[in-house]
Amino acid sequence: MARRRPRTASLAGCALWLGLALPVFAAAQTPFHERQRVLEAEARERAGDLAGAQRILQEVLTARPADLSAILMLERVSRSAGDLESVLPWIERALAAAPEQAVLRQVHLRILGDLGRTREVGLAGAEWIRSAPRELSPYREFALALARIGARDSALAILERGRRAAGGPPALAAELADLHAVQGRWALAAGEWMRVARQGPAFKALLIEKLRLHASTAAPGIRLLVDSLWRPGAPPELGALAAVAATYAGDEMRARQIAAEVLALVDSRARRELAESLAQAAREAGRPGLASWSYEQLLDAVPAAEWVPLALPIAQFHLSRGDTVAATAVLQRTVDRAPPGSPTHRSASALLLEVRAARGEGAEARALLEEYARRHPKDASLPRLAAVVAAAHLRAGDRRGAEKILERFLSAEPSDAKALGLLAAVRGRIALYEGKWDEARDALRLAASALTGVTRTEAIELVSLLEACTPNECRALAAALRAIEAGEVAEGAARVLVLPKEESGARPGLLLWAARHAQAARLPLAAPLLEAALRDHPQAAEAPAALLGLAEMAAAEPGGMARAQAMLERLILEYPGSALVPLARRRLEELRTRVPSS
Amino acid sequence: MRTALLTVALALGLARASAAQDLLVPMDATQSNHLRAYGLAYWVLKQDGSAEWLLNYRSGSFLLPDAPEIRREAALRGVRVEPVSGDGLAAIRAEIERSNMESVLLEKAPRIAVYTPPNSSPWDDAVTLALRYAGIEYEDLWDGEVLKGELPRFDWLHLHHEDFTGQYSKFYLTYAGAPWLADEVARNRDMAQTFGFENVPALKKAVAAKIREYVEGGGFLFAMCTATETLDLALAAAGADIAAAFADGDPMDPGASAKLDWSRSLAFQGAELVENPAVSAFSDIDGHQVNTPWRQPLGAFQLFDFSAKIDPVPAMLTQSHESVIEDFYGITTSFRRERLKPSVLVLAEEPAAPWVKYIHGNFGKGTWTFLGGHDPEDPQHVVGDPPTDLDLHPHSPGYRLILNNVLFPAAKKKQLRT
Repeated sequence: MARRRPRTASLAGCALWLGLALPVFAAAQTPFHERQRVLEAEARERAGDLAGAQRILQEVLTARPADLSAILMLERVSRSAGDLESVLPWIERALAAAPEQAVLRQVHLRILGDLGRTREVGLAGAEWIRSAPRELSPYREFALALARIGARDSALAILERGRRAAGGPPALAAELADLHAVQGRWALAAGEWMRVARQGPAFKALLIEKLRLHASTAAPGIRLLVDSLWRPGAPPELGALAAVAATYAGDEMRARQIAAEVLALVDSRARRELAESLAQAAREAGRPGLASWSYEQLLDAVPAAEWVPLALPIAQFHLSRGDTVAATAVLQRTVDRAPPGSPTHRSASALLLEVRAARGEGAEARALLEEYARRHPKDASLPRLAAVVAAAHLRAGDRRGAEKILERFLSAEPSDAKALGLLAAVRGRIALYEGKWDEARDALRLAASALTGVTRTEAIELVSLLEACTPNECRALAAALRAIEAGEVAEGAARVLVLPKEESGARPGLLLWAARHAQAARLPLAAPLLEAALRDHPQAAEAPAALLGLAEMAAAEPGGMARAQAMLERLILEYPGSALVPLARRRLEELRTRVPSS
Repeated sequence: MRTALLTVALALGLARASAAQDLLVPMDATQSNHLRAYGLAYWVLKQDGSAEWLLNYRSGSFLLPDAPEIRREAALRGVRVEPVSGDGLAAIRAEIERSNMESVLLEKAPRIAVYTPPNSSPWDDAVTLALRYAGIEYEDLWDGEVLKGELPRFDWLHLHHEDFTGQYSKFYLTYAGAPWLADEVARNRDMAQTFGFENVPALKKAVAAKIREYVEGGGFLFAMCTATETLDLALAAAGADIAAAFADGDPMDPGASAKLDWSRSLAFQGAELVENPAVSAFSDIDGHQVNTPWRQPLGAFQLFDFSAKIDPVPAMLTQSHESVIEDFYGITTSFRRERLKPSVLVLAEEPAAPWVKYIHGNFGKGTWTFLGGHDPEDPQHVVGDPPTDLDLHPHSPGYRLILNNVLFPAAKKKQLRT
């Protein structure tokens, strides 16, 4: 079984950066012929010929023992081949040729560690330190190798020795903090992080990256760091770090409070930096509320010229979390500020129009549509936007307004499928409300063929009902739909429930359709609708769906589990040929929760 | 509870008397849900009823008493049953008598234990998946319960992908830092500490020894995937260190393979250990070595035919409506023939390949059965794959093999002797 790659942990962060930088450096020092050979080996590796790749790399290393590209690739290929041990003679030869090369030492330690040669890791690390006792790299890499093989106490001792050799704190603070954090020594971890923070702005990114890596496991340590960073009299830059750290520690309120204090103290550039980094941290830490607040601060902090390019992505972020109020505010400000006729202005106007229409603000949406059409009369999205605004009017019960919009803005039929589908859906509804059943059915059929997703399903459902309903039922359907679209779901569903009995193939479907809307609105009215479908039409194809719906409602009620199970059993036993039986079996199994017994 | 069971039992008895016929649960191609059919038979046993397993008759059908409750339960589970009249039953018995078939009485629902770490996902173990799908009850247990001597409470014990060498499936180095592995390591280390073991490999050796005792005392053991190979390695390594440094702080003993005592193992002998800690393979017992560059491709394995009258046990374990089954990987996928002890009975093999798939043997008063591979319906099984949905595989012959093992301990004791 292959396993997914793990998240790089703690000390490995340094190795990662080093790893990214190395191939570029290594390629630069490899002469052309050898580089060609290394590329050839890479091609063999991609083709799965690991042995062939190893052979070429060994040839390169025979000629140039300390060739970094070849060494690094040989390590990777041999690791894949399960033959890591074969790299050791080559790395030892390379070290003999270039003992000063820190990367070779690092690779050597890593391989020894991965082969489980604990004693040799110790010897190699000690040898490297002896050769460069005043440099930090040997201590850092030796400790990393020890930590990888689980010898964390030894790793800690090496780092502390390195710190002493380098003249004391704050040397190796980030690495020490990593080790303390993974072992739950929160105060010590916070102390070391504090040392990283005090090293100045250049270390800010490193500290934030470390906090991000430890966010899920070291919240207590990060909270201690927040306390240390933001104390009375502390400089605002430490406060900014404290706000970000509090975010990673999961303390949203504290993060917002500290950020507000800092924002009041600093200039606009620092405000922008803080708001940006806080928003990013909040999104990474799964705190959308804090991210939203940070974006507001960001938009307040930037001058007019920088405002517009930032606003559209922020509005889309608000929409992604369903916050149409915040999105509308940002979009309105964007429309007000962006140069009229610019691409940003046009995109923001179109999006604002759609958001206002979705919020039921028909008049505002129509005004925006007028303005949009004036500025962009040939724009291809105009028919779609017109259909969106017309649909909003229709939902508000303003049929005449919807018709006027279509007359005013549709000089020709749209060519793209989505606009065509939306338009057909609007026309179908208008025809339905006017009692023109055939016209409604034809338009909704066209909508069903052009639309996708939920809107397509809705159109298909209405077409099916219109094909089978009696004039009475069609009238009830139209009235119910109008009420439901206006948000009066109870009234709409009740119109279906009170229909007098009559022979009709559409009745069970109509009852289910109304019940589904009632269920979505969490109305108890759903139950009598489903019960009527089941009681009055037990042989209909909709009866199993009614039973399933009733079972789900019962399962959601306190003490309704046994009733739910009984209904599912009835579905399975009385409608064995129904397509819903496998689903009912699965739900029954879940509800029974009788396995395991322990 | 007892009263309720009695009521159901009485109802079953009375209803049967009035219907005066039986229900055949066919297990050939006409069956609508093979896997849940095992659950139906188990359910009848659980209600204090009895059932017959008609070995080799229509691919290992079950004969149940005819009662409305049983018909209802069959319908709820989607299991096809056929009413059988007195004459029909006589004809079935006559056919069994003159063919390679046998009727085995199932008389008691076995008490089932699944060895699994706390918080593990049920869908990562083919047996728990099969048990849940079929509706067969089981209890979870782990090292603590095993060491406290709770195994004798159960008739049947299942092991899956546990690494009894204590090396965390040798994923330790490749996946250092992964939260799931960190949890696994911490949980095992805590358990070792709780029971006073120096390290995890020592803990696992003690657990393996307890499992061996359980089988010796009359338990039924069924193991899959890594548990098969590593259980035997742990048993054979009582006097040797076969764990890499990351697991116990010091490297494997030099020449550890030669120090293994194969008289203590159940199934294998003479294996060579994979000493490289960076390679996720344990020994040369496994023929496929899935996580190595020398991985072997998957083929198909064939179930052997056994005499149902003379060898009812292997016949029970191999009941299937398909005799050739597509192979599936696990960290231990198969067992090399040359590593099997001479007493091992091979139940399924890949013809002409140097490995077999499914083996069985006796030890003391009990038996063990090993099936290589991880999930019969997820042949590659990359971790992170979505869980197998058995509603999509209700006829899975690979899962049938697992469920054959679950019902095997229900058979009347005297008929289990071979």
